Amino acid sequence: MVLDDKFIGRHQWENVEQTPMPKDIPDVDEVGATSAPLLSASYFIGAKCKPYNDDFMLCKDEKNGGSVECLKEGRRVTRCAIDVLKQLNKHCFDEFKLHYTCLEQENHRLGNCRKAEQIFNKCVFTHLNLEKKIPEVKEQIHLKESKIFHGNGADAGLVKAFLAKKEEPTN
Amino acid sequence: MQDLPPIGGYDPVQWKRNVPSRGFRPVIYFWGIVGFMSFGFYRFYQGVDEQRELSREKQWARFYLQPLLLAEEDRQKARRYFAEKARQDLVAESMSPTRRAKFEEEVYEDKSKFRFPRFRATVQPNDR
Repeated sequence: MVLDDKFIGRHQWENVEQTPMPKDIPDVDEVGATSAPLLSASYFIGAKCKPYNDDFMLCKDEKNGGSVECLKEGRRVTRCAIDVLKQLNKHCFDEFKLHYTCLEQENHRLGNCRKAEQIFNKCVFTHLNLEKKIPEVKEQIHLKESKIFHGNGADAGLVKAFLAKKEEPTN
Repeated sequence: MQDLPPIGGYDPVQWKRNVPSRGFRPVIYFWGIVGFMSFGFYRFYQGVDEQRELSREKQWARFYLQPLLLAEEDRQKARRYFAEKARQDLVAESMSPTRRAKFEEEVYEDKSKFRFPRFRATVQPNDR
């Protein structure tokens, strides 16, 4: 119990477990991306890492939660996701950034960032050969042209400026 | 003897003002409103469809991220479990054999699956 800089109590303690993982379990980097980049990359992570993700989730399903048993599968999932994010940063850094900053500004509404998403998806398709596809449904909402909800349209202006800036050096 | 109407009838009585009727015929208003409302409902349900697809898109984005987030969380859970287990073993070392046997007795009969421990051994409150 802390009262105005005075500590009253028997022990000062913090409810954080500092002990590292045992030595026999291999280390793995954490993804470390925030929500907007993850949301932006999610369909590509899903497309590329489907076998690892499915394996991990099935393992968890079989093992009653499997928090301790499925560590190996979990490491594979994380490594795969990190790999996808690295690839995105390598080939489509600017488009990726444009899309996730837009998502951040637009309250994570994917529908308000279609223009940025369009050029990002195009870049990913040309470089990584990954395509965004919403499963189990014929109508792909991200490809729809005429919309009811279009947001404030700030995204269109940003994309226009981005494309103009990108074309400048070639001229 | 009864008073009869004058020959050739009474003069006509003006029972309505001489104002021209405003606006269109009523039927035009009726169909106009029906058409306007139909268009409104059509656009509304288009919007409903679009919202449904937008939320579907968001849900699938989450489904694709879920294994990744769970993997990270599980690693933290496992790390805490292993740390706690190491601490429990240290506590158990200082116990008398009978007490230790009782302490290490399994809580659950069913050994088919792993469970995180619900209870843990600590030092006596007075010794803290």
